[in-house]
Amino acid sequence: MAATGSGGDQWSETAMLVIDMQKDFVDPTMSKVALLSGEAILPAVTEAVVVARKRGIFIVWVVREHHHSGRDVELFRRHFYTDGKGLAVEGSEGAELADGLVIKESDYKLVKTRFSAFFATNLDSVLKTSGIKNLVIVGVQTPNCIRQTAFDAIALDYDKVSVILDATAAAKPEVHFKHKRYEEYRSGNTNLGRMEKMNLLCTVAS
Amino acid sequence: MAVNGSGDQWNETALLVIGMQKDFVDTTMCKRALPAGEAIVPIVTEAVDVARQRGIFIVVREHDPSGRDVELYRRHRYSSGQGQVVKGSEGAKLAEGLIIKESDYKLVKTRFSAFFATQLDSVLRTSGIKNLVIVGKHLYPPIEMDTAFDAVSLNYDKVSVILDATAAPEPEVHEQNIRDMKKIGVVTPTFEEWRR
Repeated sequence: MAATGSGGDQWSETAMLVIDMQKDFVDPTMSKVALLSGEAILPAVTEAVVVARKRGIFIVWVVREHHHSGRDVELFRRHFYTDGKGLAVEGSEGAELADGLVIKESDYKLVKTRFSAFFATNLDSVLKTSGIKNLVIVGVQTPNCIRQTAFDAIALDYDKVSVILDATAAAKPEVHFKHKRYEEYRSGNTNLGRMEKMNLLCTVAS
Repeated sequence: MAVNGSGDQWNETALLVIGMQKDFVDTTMCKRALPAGEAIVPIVTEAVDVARQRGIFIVVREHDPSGRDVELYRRHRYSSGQGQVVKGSEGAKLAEGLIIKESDYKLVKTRFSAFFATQLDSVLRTSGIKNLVIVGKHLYPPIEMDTAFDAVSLNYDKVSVILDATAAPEPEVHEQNIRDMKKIGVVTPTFEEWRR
């Protein structure tokens, strides 16, 4: 994704979804359960956003925000909230975007409460009415929010859905990918390899 | 939920049998059928027998021969006449040994998740169902784990996936899928553990 700067109409049908890059998920100083791998991809995600802006790509910041009581979080996590240890509580510092990531006026902030960015949100409507046909996905974490968002995008008939390999992460590298080169994912033994079978383009940021 | 009455209440539980169609699990029917899918047919049949008194949901894909209702990335197969589970075709039928009975509910889907653009959630809720037990070829392509993820997103109390009554193309893929599902609160008993 080199910044050639000659975007124009070519990118008017593409949106970038930056998923869950919030302090509670990727900043270990903020939360004990933050992903170290999430922290590790922060530079790549920041760079991806810079490139997207240069190309005039529509950027959607997808974040989780939950009520402090946990009444809007998945059932299996609710006990964390009643114990006062809920993540991404609305208005908390942990819910803020990681350092260096900034929402600009032309961007769109989308709050979700489940894995997929499309689940019970107006994302599909916003994208389709903006003429968006292609999606580029970055952020965390691969087996949950990234994967479900990507699969829903396919189910919702987006033309081209790309997941940027080194700007997405899971808790452990082997969950994210078994091999360093995406060409080797044919075996389907990885989240990304499996997504590739659906013509998801898994590309590297360069 | 067990046959002998211990555990969950059966009348709040539904069994979803997903994708057990010839084009997906019968290797004599279709080159793309999954041998691991074929291997689970006996145990799925048994799970169905165990659950039958309570009513089960048979979830199948059925597609237009032109492929106009299949995901974009698969459409080329339909236009070249190689589409799977075309409505009315032999390949769309349930695998040998699995039969839909009158008390069962047949749900047709056209995307990965049994909940996507279907009336499944509505039917389950209005039947008072709170818990789901999932069997079938649903872990291949692994994208069909979508049903389990959607069930959690839709607040079903307890979502179970029966380990040895589900399949994926390779054991490592299956294991990874199970690990991913456990992390979101899905219970993964073996068939024997479940039926007890």
